[in-house]
Amino acid sequence: MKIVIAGGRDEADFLIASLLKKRHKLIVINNDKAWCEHLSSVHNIEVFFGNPSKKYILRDAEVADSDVLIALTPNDAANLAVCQYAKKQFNIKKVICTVSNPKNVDIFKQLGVDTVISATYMIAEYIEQATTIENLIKTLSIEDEKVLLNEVIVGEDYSCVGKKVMELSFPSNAIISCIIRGKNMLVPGGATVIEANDKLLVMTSPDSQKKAINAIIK
Amino acid sequence: MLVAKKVILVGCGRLGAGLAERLSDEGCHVIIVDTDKTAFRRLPDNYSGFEITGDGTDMEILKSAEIEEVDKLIAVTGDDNTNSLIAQIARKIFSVKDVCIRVHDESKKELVSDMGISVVCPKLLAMDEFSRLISSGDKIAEE
Repeated sequence: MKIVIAGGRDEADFLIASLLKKRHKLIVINNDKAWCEHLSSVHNIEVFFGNPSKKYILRDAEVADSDVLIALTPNDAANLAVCQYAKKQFNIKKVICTVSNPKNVDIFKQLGVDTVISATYMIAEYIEQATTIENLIKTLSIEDEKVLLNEVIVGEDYSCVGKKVMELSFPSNAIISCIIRGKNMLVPGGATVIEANDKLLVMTSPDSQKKAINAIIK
Repeated sequence: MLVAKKVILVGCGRLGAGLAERLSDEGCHVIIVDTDKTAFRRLPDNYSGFEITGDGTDMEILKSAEIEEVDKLIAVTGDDNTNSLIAQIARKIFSVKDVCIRVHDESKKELVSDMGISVVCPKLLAMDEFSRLISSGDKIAEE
């Protein structure tokens, strides 16, 4: 894939290394001359010096028709401008940016940015999910938090112990996709009986998470 | 009784302060927003509108400026990208009817022109004026 990385310091550095390893073709633009030289010498690639929120810089860096653009400048408004130029004038299919103000996540999505990442926003979401139930060991979110994969270890006092899967009052949009019992993995059917110390992998939507977990525990 | 038109102005630099003075003289109810409190010193003594210290790209600040009730917003901060972001929030999220911004880089116009946002570019205005002056100079010389 042809990927444009606009701005960013350590995050750009890290992304360049990881994307080069996967053999993507990169166009790197940075506004800081010294950082350009650093990136260029460390990764042995050409780095374009200039402000990526200027149209002529994007034009000169020949970003047109790239597959993905990632805007990492510390200025949210500049990142939006970069992403909008990319979409509207340079025919770039997918644009991603980081924002400092977590409130901009929803705004930028409404304004046409495909993926908006805010560290604060993600931490807040994570804490909210993690504190739903203390017994929840891990929650992994997939597809922009649309799907949650929850890992629950069944305690001996849980109501589900000895019950069949079909006897649990599970909400819609939730399923026990896998049970890990000792060293074995099994995909449960309706008649599978849950035992204490089973590790359940429960796939849920965010709204059904609490109900599903409660059905296992209470 | 005529209800005064409400206008939100974001950016209290030379242009913002000048506009605030003119619009309030014309009878508008002006609410001016700037991140820097000291910027409001540019406003004349007789300015009677409101001042809000805060980031004009922040929805909460815009709400405190009663953006849900105004139908005019002007963004004239020193940064083109900031003006463009504020204008898009005003148009797309709060459906403000008339939104105008100042940009120094005329190519930024292309980013927002399809959203019903009016754009003023001082460079283009100055170019028009200069070429008018130059060509009218020719006419005088010919006479």
